[in-house]
Amino acid sequence: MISKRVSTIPFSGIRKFFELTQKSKDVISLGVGEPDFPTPDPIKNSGIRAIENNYTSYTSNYGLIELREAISKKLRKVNKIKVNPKDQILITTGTSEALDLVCRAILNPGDEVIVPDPSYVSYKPCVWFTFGKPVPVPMKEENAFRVQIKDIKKVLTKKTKAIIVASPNNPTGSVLLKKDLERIADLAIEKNLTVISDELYEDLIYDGVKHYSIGSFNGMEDRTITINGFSKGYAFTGWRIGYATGNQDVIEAMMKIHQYTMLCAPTISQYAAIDSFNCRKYVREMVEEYDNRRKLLVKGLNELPNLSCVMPKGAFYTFPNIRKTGMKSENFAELLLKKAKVAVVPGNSFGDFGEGYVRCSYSVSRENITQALERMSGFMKRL
Amino acid sequence: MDKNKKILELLEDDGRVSTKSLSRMLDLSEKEVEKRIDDLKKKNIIRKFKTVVDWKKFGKRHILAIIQIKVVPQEREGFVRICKEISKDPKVKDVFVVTGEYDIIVVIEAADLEDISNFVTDKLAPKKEVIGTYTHIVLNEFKRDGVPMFDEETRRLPVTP
Repeated sequence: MISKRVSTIPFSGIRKFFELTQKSKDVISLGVGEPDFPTPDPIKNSGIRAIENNYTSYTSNYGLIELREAISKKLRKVNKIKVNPKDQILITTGTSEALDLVCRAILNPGDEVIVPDPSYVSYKPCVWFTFGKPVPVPMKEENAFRVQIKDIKKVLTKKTKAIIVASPNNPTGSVLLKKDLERIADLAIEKNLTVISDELYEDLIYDGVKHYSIGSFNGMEDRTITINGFSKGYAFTGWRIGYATGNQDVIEAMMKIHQYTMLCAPTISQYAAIDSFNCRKYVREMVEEYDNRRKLLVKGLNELPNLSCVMPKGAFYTFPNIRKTGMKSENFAELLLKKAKVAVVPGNSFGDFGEGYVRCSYSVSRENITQALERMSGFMKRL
Repeated sequence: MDKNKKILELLEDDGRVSTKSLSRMLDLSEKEVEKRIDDLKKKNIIRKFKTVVDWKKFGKRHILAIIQIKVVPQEREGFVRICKEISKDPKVKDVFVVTGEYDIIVVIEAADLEDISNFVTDKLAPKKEVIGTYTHIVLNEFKRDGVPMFDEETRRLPVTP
């Protein structure tokens, strides 16, 4: 009954680990991909007020104008992206929907999309669903997992339509430097490519590193679709609000699909999201705590035998190298779960170039990080 | 100084955090962390390391009371002497001078109601500067010293993309 297209696309490797983890008891999970903080109170209160005021009907297909205006102000100030809130911002049901819509809006069957590898699990499937072809470009440990322009050029063909940029990156925590982005921008302009820039983790960044939006660069305004949301920075995952911004025609085309398939993003959540821009204090506090945990985890991982870990500059993930154990990522993760009761995500869930690594999240309490490290230490010594 | 502040914040949250963990989070050597903690102890900035115990769960009977006390301030010393005197009783957990109708608030932990009654009638009431007391017996604890005293299951999925 299932279509050929859908049946050929595999389930996410993460699902298997979710099930395995749920079956075992007393597991410390470093497998989480969402903040462990509650949504900031002012945002929660706005959501509650929206319900009490009966703001529970549909909104415009593009989303609440108040929210789009607040986003355009933030884009101008923080990202140096100037867009018209009327027709250049689309509010979506999570950033996931924005990704799906942009792929469907711009891709023809056979179009190639350059996708960093390892990277977020949905990029490739979203391209596949549109009969496009995702082309992985490796992000190597020796480059601190920053995608290199020479590697992009190697996979460039006449069919290349777009490049996905994901910085800060899930699962590696890498952050692209300004010069990395400038090179990608130059190439996109030269080869007439569209850039899809996923900036969902922009707020979670450490060591004074700065986040740049490729859509703000000269000549990129009209060829970049920036997708973002509130989930990671504002601990807002379950509310499901994201947005896309950029080229007016593309945003309109995305809106056309959204209009027929989603109608609008959840109204209550849209009202709540308006208040997130007044919650910078909460974000700063969360980032400070993530930073403590990042150091705790990375330095701890680097003291374990047969394991090494690059200090990530963004998001809340570490991506330690486990090759010295001689094991495949999946075997390692399965054994670690079975023997040491610590859940991590095998690196190959994020692409073939993630093989030889596992993703350990530090969106976990300090106590649990310390305990997980102790368990892993015993496990690694017995290997 | 900023690092000392961070050490204090981390220790206040978890008094048993290891020197090793602290050194990782602060980018300091373990020796340096130890030195700073010793120094903070010597200066009495770190007063004591303690544990928050859920005695109810352990099964030990105990009773908490919050006592408001109205006092006539004494010449030259105000509330200082009486507050120090009250503080010396080992049953007393907290002593605060406060604004409002009453002047001092005392939190006391005792084995039973009789202990509390004795404290109020035998120890507090006879003091010449005490004009009145108002005792609240604690019926239930939900949070103490920043620690929730209830268990709540997390609904966050253990593994997500």
